[in-house]
Amino acid sequence: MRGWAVAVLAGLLVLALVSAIFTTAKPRDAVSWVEAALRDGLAPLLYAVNRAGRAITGLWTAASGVWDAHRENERLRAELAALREENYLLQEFRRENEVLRAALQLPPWAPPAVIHAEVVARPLNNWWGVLTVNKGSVDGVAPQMGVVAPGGAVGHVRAVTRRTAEIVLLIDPRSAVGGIVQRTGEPVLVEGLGYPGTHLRLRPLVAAPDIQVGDVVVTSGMSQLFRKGIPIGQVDEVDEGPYGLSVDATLRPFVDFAKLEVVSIVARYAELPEADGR
Amino acid sequence: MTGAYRKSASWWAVMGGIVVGLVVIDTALLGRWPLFGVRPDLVLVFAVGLALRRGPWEGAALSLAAGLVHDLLGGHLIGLSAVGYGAAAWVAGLAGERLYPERWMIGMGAVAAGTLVSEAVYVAGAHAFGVPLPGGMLGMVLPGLIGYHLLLTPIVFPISRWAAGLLSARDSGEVAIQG
Repeated sequence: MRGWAVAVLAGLLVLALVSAIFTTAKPRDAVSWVEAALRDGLAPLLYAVNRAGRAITGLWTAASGVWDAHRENERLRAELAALREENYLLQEFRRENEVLRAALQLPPWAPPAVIHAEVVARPLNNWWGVLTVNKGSVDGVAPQMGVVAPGGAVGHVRAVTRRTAEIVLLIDPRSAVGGIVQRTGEPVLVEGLGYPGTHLRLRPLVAAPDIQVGDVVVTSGMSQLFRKGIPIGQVDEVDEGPYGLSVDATLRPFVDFAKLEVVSIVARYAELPEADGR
Repeated sequence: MTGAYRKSASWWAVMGGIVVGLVVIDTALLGRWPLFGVRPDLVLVFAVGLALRRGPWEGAALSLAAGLVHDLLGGHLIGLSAVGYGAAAWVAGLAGERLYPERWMIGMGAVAAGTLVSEAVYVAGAHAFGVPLPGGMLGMVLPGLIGYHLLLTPIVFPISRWAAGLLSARDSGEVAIQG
C-alpha cells in the first residue's frame, strides 16, 4: 500500500513538472501569483545585496584605476574636445532638421519618456540573457517596452510584477531585433547568441548584402520596441559562406551587458502613471 | 503538534532560507563577477553537498524542491532546473553511498559530475520542450562552470554539511519521540 502511494505521488509529481515546463516553455508576458509574490518579496533583499556588490566592485575599480588615472584623464580630455566639436555640428543639423520638418509640416521630434531602473539581479543560469530591474507595474513598466542604456539598445521588457520587471537582453537566444546597417541603409535582423554574451548574430534581409567589418548597425524603428537610430553594435566578422550565396556576420554590441547597472525603459507618454519620483 | 512536527517545520524553514539566500547571492552578487563569462549556481553545489551525505533518493527529492524555488525566480522552463538538480543530486548521492563523502576529492568530483549532469539534463530538456539551445554552448560553458563551482565548493559545502546535520538531528528526534 505504501509503495503504491509513493508510485502515485511520484507520477503526479512528474505530471506536474512536465505541465509546468511545457506551460513556461512558451514566451509569456504574465507571471503566476506565486512567482510575483516571490519576486516582489525578494526585491528589497536583491536590491540591498546588489548595492553591496556594487560598492565592492566600485572600491576595486577605484583602487585599480588610480594607477592609470593620469593617462586616462589625458585621453578623456582629448575625447571631450572632439565630442564638443561634433556637438556644435549636431546642433546645427538639429536646427536645420527642425526647419525642414516645419517646412514639410511634420510634427516636431520629441524625446520619448523613459523610466530609469536599477539592475538588481542577473541571469540564474548561463543559457539565458535576462536581467531583473527594480521597477515594475506600479512605476508604469509594461511588457514589450524597449530598454536602452547610454551605449545603445539593451533589450525589451518581458514579465512584470508590481515591483520588478524582467528584461530579455539582445544577447538572449530568444531575442531578435530589426536593424539597419548605417552605411548602406540595408535592413538586417539582429539575433542573440547566448553565452558568453559578447556577440550578436547579424542576418541580412536583402539579396547580395553589402556588409563590411566595422559597419555600425542601429535599430530600424520598424517595431514598436525602439525608435529608429539607436546604436546596437559594430560588425566584427563577416562570413560569406560557401560560393558566396549567403552572408552571416557577427556583431559586437556597444553595451557591455555584464556591467549594466542602470537602464532606461522607453515608455509612451500615455502609459506613464502620474505618480512622481521617477 | 508534536515535537517532531515542529522540528520538521523548522528544518524546512531553514532549508528554504538557505536556498533563497543562495539564490540571492547568486543573482545579485556573484552574477556581477562572471569567470570566463560564466555565472555560478550555488544552489546546485549546495544540493550536491547535501546529497553526498543523505543518499541518492533523499538528496534528489530535496534538490528537486530547491530547484523549484530557483526556477520560480527564473520564470522560464519552470521545473527543468529542478529536474537537473534532482539528477545531479542522485548521482552525487550514489557516490556518497559507495565512496567516502567526507574526502575533499570525492566532494570535488561529485560537484564536477553534478554540474555536468545538471547542465546536460537542462539542455536536453529544453530541446525536448521545443526550446533548442546551441549545442556547442554546452562545451563552452561547462569548463568555466565546473571550475567556478569547484572554487566555491569549500564555501558552500560546510553549509550543506550543516543542513544535513540538522536533518539527521530531526530524524533522530522523530525516532526518540515515536519510540
